[in-house]
Amino acid sequence: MKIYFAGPLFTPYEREYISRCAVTLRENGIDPFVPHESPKVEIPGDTRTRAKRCLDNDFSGIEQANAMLAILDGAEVDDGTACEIGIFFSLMQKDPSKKGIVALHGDWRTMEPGEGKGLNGFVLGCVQKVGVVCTSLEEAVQQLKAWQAELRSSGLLADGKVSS
Amino acid sequence: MKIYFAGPLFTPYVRDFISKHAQILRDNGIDPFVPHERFNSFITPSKVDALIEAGLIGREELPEKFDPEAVMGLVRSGRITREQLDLPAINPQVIFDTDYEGLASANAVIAILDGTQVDDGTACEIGIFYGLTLQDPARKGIIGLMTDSRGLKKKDHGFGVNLFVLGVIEECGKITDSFDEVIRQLKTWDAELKES
Repeated sequence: MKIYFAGPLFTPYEREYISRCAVTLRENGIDPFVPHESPKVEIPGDTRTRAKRCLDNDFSGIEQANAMLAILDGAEVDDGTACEIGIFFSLMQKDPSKKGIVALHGDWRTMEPGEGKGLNGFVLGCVQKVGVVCTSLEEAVQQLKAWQAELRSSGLLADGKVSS
Repeated sequence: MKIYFAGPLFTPYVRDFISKHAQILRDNGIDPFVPHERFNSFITPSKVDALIEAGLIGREELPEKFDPEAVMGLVRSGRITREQLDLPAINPQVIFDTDYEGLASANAVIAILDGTQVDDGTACEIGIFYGLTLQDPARKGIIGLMTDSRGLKKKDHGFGVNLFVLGVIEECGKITDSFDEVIRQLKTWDAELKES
């Protein structure tokens, strides 16, 4: 099963964490699209803006994914991540092969009752509508595997080669 | 044309800004869904009168002219409870369902992009609506409004907006620092809708 791995990837340690999680996912038979790991293909004469290239690259991963794993950590949910959650929610409405969104949440500032302001109600409501919020990667992997099994049994899994 | 007005509506001054600009849109024949006004619509003059008659609040605590935002201020400060006003419970599902209804019936979105990053709720709404534009030609697009001086300094570099969010907005609209431009763009989309 293909998934899109969304999260703030602006610091070396964020990228390292995501990459380590991605290894665990692969060991569990899940195929994650990791934006910072995806090869940036240089097209000669490419006139697209940087933003357009970023959108094209990441959207291709979202479009092909059967599920999304989204890291919600930060003082608020990273805006790029929140936007990707919204896009996946919309695409899910017309595509039964898109199973849902698993959020990973461990930031004390947005925990209840943490010292910060709590998670944004709209974003949390969106995730809860089509998925779950987990506090550990193990928990998230279990949910993704459950969806993978559902897709297999309904014949909707496009990447039958990946097995757990 | 119906539009959805997205923005960080957590402070009185942002809500005030949004409400004032929503009024300008109405004066221009555009029908905005304003999330905080939708929630305020559950507050009625009769409910407020009942609280005053019961002695739970004094008439002098509120402006003379009925103002649901002022009543909501008393709720937010804990002076009165949601139950006393018979308001629906607020939880993530209610917030999402209420706002999604506005988003799903809009032909366009205006999004306030101010802040150190785009507000996460606003960014999520931008993503949802972008997804809708891919499925329905009657969803015209997203116009982002930047008034944040930190963003304006980077006007020529995408207003300093997250590259992915910037890509999404530019794919189906644009970012501007002028509300006149917002109105112009919305009117253009409105005209295109009427033509088709």
